[in-house]
Amino acid sequence: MIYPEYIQPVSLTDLWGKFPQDKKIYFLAGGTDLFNYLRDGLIDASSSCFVDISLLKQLDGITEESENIRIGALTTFSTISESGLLKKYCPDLVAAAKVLGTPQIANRATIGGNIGNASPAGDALPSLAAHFAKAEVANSKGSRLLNISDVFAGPKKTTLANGEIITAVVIPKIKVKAGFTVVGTFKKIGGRKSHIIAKASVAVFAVVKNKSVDYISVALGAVGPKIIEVRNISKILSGKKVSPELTEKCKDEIRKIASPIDDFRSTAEYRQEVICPLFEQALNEIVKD
Amino acid sequence: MKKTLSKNNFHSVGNSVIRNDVIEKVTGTAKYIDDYKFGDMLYGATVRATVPHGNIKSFNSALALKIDGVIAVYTYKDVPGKNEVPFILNDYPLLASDKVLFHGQAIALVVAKTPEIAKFAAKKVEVTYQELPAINDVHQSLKKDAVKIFGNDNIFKRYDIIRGDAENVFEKAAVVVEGKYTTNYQVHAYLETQGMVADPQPDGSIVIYGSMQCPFYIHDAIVHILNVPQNKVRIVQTTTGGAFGGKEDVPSIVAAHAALAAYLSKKPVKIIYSREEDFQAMSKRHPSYIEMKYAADKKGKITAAQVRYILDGGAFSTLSPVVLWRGAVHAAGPYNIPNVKIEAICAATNKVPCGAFRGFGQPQTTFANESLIDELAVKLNISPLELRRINMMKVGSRTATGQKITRSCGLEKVIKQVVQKSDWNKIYLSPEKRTGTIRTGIGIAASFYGVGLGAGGKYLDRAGSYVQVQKDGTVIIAIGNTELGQGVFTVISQIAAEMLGCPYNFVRVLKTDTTRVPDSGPTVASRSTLMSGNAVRNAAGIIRLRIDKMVLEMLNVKSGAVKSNGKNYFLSSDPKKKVRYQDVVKKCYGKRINLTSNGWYAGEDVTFSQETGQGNAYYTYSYSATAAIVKVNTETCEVSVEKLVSGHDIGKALNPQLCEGQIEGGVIQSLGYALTENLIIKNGIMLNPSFAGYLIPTSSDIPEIIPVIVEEPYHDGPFGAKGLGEPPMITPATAIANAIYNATGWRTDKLPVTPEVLLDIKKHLWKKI
Amino acid sequence: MEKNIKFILNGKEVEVTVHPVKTLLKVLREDLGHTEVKAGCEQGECGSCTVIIDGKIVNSCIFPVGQAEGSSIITIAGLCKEGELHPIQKIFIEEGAVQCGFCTPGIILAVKVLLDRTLSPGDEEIREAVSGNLCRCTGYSKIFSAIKKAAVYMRTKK
Repeated sequence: MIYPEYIQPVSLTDLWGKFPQDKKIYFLAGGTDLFNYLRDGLIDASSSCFVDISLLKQLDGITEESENIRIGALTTFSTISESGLLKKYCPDLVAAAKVLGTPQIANRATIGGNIGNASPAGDALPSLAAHFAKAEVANSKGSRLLNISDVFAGPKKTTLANGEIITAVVIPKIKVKAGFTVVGTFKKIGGRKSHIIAKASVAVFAVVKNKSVDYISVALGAVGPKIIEVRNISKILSGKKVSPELTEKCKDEIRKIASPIDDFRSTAEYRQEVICPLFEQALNEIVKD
Repeated sequence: MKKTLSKNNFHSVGNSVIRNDVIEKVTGTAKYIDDYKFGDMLYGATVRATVPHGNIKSFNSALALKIDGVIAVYTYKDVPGKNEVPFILNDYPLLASDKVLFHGQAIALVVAKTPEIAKFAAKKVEVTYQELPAINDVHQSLKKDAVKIFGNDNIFKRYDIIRGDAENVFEKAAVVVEGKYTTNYQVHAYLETQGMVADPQPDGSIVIYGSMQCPFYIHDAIVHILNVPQNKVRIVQTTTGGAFGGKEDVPSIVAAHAALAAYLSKKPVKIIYSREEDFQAMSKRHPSYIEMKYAADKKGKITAAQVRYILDGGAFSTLSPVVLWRGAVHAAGPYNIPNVKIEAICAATNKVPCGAFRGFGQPQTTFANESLIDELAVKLNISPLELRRINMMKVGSRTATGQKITRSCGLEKVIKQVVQKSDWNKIYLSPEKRTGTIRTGIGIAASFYGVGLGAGGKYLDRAGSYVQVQKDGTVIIAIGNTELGQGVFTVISQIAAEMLGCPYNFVRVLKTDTTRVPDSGPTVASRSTLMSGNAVRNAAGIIRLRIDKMVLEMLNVKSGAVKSNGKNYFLSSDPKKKVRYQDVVKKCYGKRINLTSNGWYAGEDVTFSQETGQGNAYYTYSYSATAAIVKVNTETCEVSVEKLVSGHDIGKALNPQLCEGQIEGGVIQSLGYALTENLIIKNGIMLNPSFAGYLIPTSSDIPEIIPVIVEEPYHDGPFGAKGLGEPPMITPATAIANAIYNATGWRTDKLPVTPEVLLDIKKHLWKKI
Repeated sequence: MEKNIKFILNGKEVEVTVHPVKTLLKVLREDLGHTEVKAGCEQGECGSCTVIIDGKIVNSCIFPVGQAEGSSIITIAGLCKEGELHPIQKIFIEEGAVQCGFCTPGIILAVKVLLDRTLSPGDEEIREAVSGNLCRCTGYSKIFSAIKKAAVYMRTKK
């Protein structure tokens, strides 16, 4: 068996000095995607280096900052699905974490990995996009914040340079008016009821008082080459009461912006058809009297 | 936990005793083939075709042979016997010689010191091809000007069944309905992939261990390929991690590969398939294309059925001829129809060869006939239940092959119980009365199932056994059928205990081994309880006669009927006169009485005319019906199955809990077949050969399941038992499709009925309006 | 580039010298002889290779052994105490929740983690707990009833 080169840094500072110059760097966290790429020959072991970041404990965990919620890249989806902090600020992300995969996968898969893997069907991504979250990307010279959508170059491709690492996700905290509450959910349609890659998904995040919307943000997954933010929905609903008419307007926006494709999991036609009912289900679940 | 169905006069059979292979399974100590290690063992990996159809232009293993740890690369040139896997038509080469007919076909074997090296080296073997046009489906295959990949017409096998004069009846019929149906592949998805170890012996013989259903098929294959006498080959089954038909035919290929490598390298060789390889190269349920017509009079009496039934066999025929036969014989449905015309064809395509899968052609034909029966009910404006009641098989009915049903027919009872337990009358409402985004629907499908191989494989329908009572009273049994998880070893033990009069837990069934009993045919077709059960009943009965004689002697009576409660023997006429089982055994040994016997059973005679398709196709039938309750989201076209009530007339439930297990497992495989399992092969290449892409049901997809058992005993079955393994897979998918229709008015002519398919139907209907 | 890796396996310290990217599944089966951990897909999809690491279930087939350093791992072999079956094992037997047995070790470990967390699991929780363990034989029905019964048994015996 040919294995890739393997290094296991114990701290972030330790990280940079160790990279082999001539190899493609893969950061190994939970390994839930990486091992399949290795097995399927999508990673050439002999010219690759796995950098095991599992000992970088400073990259693990969810913390509240004055303006943001910070989720370390190594935070697993089972941690996210049980986080009180995220239930308060990002209920949609919690909902996504709950349906992301099997318990075994949720115990291992990390939010950093979900972003780095850059799948348009990645379950955490619509929610992060809906929150205008930023990925903290680091290299030996320092770190910078990138909009989640700017991390993606296309399906399974990122804009990150070889050796650059996602260290955290930073989610701005929303201001909540008195009497209003933060709500959010994530819905997906897959080929079966659980443990499934999305054919279409939607994250809705809002600040509401019953049916009155102060703020809303919606993003779609698996209906385009990248995650799609539906910014016009905020214009339609902010400061208004959700009504069937306005919901229809939102759906029109979604229809306009979705650009799904055919693949072996589903058809463009089906994805286009269900993304609106899916949005409506999500909206009705969180915005109600 | 003891559960019995009805009043049970037996001490062993009819009880839900716990399985006799279960301790090792819950502790993880059970040994499956990959858990075996032999000294000096080598590992095999298969070089596979990377094009769906082509001539092999060049083959170069030099690079692979240079890799450290690679021992040899074997090709068809190294096969000492015949380079063909013997199934029925012998068209499948063990290793491709000059051409390949499907993507994934085996071309060569790499043998190396570790499995990783073998797999790595297999990728380094260079094969070049002159690509040829590939046949992607049966319609293409059957065109006159199609490329020929089998014989001069691409037809593996054809059957015609003609009863009465269907064509004439259709012309004059009051009502005619017709439909065209397609079903896709289904993958067995047993959790343990295929695997074998071949262990060459100093005397030139060879032992094969592995995951399998049919050791005697493998025995024949090894003899054929190595050109050795039959007594030099021994096949031993290891604990097998699921099979469902997928380990009936194709394990012969895996075993023959391992045997060839072991024979040539003179070392034990292990071959374990990866999941992807298992998907790509092992057999599948045949995709089908079926055109079907029913004619009926105004009162709903079906007067004629006409079926054109086409199976996509893939690149090689394997068991396609017999799969085709079973489907054809049952294609008109479980109804008494005087005029039937069935045309059945299995055609070759450049795709993975299809073979045996639980249901064996019947899930496909059932989808056609049970969908069309519902259409007929709509057209006649009578309920789908009433239409089935009018036409269903009863004692006195005749099947499509003209066979008169003379006994053991519980279809009416099955349907009655299924209707009652599904609350049919409360839930049923015609589709146009259903409203709302999420709509409930209920549907039913029924079927009959010829137990055993029938006239299609009658010379294989026999079984042997060996029973030996040990000095302490414990019992050893050998049979020729295999334990696949279904629980046959437990049932066999129950039968032996009942016959011998000993406690069930005294009986041990040995791992199936071809050197212990004669060729007993395959472990398929729901035949094991009946065939091996009767063979054991035969052997144990012989021993019991000797025991009874000794009991009378010990009780000092000259004659009388001896009975047993599983602990003691007693006189039927005077139950107080009793003697302990172990004491009798001890006494027999002391008196040098032989407490060992072989047993044998051959099924009743069956017939089938190749010309007319008429005859007594099977000696008995099991009957089944399933009611499905679904919820359909009319916006997203998602279907959620809420409840499945599946009823089965199986003659006698020898172990009710195991029977329930067969029903529950089968209906969920059928649920997957109905909704989510969708293997996609595009231009000969499989696009989703993994559990991530091919979706079998998970725990989240499981509805409430109500298994229903009906007992209409078969006089020649062990304690009345017929067969159960396959029927639970046959009706549920169509019941679900019919329930979707009932919920929405959307009639699918395709399985699986994915949301994408339903959306298509919905849009099509809207256009019509 | 092999490495010395130590961890606790079923309560006993073990040490292996292997490449850290080798999967835990292969190390357990090949290097440590723990064939009770099954390889069903080696793609992280079927759950046959499930083990418990530090109280959580994972697929050992996609777990690099390098990350096992210092952890505590339980396989199905670690469930029997002095030859006595764990109540979950006993009840799986009674309820007929086992057929071919290939998925059984993984499922029982998933159930153990569930029942370590709660002895009153709801229906949805039960489904969720074993949703990463494919079973092709049983239709899951008897697995659900075994889990419910095991929970009741363990609750009342506690």
